[in-house]
Amino acid sequence: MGIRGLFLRLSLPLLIRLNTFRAKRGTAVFTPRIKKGISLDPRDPKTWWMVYAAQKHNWIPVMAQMYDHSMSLARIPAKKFYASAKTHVNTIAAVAAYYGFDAASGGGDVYNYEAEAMGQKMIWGNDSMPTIDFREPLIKDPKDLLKLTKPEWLSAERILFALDVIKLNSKMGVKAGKFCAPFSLAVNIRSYPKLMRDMRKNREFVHDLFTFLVDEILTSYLRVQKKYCGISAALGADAWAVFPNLSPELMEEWVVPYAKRLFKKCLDFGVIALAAGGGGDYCEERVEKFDKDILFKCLDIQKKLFAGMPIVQLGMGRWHEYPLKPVAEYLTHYTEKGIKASIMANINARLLRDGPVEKIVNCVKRFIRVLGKDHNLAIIFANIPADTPPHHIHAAVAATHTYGRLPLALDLDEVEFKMPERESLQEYIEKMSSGTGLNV
Amino acid sequence: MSDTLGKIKQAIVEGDDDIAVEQTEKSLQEGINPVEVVKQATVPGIERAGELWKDNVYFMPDVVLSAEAFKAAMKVLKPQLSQVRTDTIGRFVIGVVAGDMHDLGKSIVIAMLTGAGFEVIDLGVDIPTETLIERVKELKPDIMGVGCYMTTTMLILKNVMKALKESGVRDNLKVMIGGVPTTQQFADEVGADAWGKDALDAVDKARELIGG
Repeated sequence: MGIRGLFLRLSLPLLIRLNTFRAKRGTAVFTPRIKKGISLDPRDPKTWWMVYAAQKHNWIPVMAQMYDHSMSLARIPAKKFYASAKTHVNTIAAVAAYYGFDAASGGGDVYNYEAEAMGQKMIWGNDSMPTIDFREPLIKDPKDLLKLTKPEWLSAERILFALDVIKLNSKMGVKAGKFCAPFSLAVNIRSYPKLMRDMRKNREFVHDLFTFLVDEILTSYLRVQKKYCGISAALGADAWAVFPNLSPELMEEWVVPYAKRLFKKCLDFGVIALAAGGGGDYCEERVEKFDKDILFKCLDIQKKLFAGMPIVQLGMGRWHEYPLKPVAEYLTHYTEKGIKASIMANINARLLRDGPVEKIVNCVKRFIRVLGKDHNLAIIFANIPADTPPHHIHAAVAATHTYGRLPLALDLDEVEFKMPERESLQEYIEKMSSGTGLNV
Repeated sequence: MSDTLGKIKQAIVEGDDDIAVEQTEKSLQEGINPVEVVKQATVPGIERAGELWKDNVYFMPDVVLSAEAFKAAMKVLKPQLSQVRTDTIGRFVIGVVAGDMHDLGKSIVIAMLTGAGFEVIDLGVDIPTETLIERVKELKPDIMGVGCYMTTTMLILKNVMKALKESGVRDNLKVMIGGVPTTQQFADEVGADAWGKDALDAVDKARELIGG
């Protein structure tokens, strides 16, 4: 273990305490730190967003994962948006500034880069994010695992694109690596049905696979991210490791141990790697099947994936329809200790697309009413659908900033909400770029 | 029910494709009519898995493995079934739009629809709109189900619906859509006849569409 690894290992409890301390103080734990003195450059959309974000806003932050939406709205071809870091990040920055998001960062199809670099076949649509060709999984048979080797990262497929995106993100205050978490990566190169079968019938192979992905693939990729991008923390995306794709018991057995293994391995070279993005999310589609006990188990798993930090993700599920009381009940074990949890509360993607505005606004207001007073809340739009009407997003952002103004109003019903009147993205770009257009 | 049929059903409920295949082969060797194997073992097996899913006893891994075991057993029976006349309640053609490779939901829908008595023809994933239209003309299904799993590829459904109209096959065809990003509202927007919220809902809606 290196000196930095030893230092990080020793300082981790401190880091967790610090997070808890910031949470207790009510400091915004989600928002990026923007350098002072940024001036507007019409040719650099990153500055459009940074100038906006550098203003002191005392409100609950709102942010989004919006790759396909940004690409569609800005009319950028997929093959450029998902291959050129400058195009990708400048587009995201412009759209984030347009909507007034409190964080902006590129990422793209973060689930695919490692698999693609290892040799997994991909499919590229003209107007859509590249996707894994599940007809041709890299591991067709368990013995194929023995043929896999660590990629030459800097020359492998779109790795340089992914690394350059991370570098550009750091200019906007988000200096964090990104990777595909072990479970989702395993799904990508084996396919979900086969992996489920392996987990029942060939457990030794699955352990070998996950160990290989952690020890050989992800650890080396994160070393490269550290060297190339200077990161000291990274978040892994794990949308396959959610309920009901996996039961909580299966998550405990297959997801948590390898997230912990990766965490330990990366601490050795000075990176805090949390394979926690989306992992343990509760996503039951049928609201009538909502189950508090399963939700609690999922939230316990999330805490483990976040290395014990009081972080809760209310992700891709139907949170506009699920009851929020059980979440508040779960969180009492924090409030009783005077700890404010950090909650990422998602507005359901289909609600964002379909609307109506009133329903979206009420969803935001309900999150703030139930969870905003006792905890650090951030409103998240996880994966805004490509054709979502922009006024739906403007409404959701305005609702967050109106009802979420700190300190929160005692009675949110007394707070007046006004729907903002906004220009189109194209008009906005024309204005901000002084007529030169989006520099991508 | 014979011991073998019971074991086939159990293997499907438990999602064990090896045993499902082994016992289905055994049933044929024992001279059991393949139609009876379907009626007494494979269909009740996948139906039971669906019930357990509905009751929150089964989760996605269980249902997927049941669907895989069902598919494996049906593959053994298929050559035999093609030699005998079997009753189906309708022909259902299913595929995923171009640029989209996700077929997890489709596999479950196929198993559930087959279990419900539909003749299901799987066109696969990443299917260009022109191919979908050609196959509809060729196969003359009662229902076409189209899936999409990304918010960009779901927009292709608008083109599919337009192409179905322009090619003159829409009037005699019911169209269902499904997939993670879709909603009833989107189904209405594109002019589909029904939206399947999940596999169980898709079966109910398909039955309704053919008046079952």
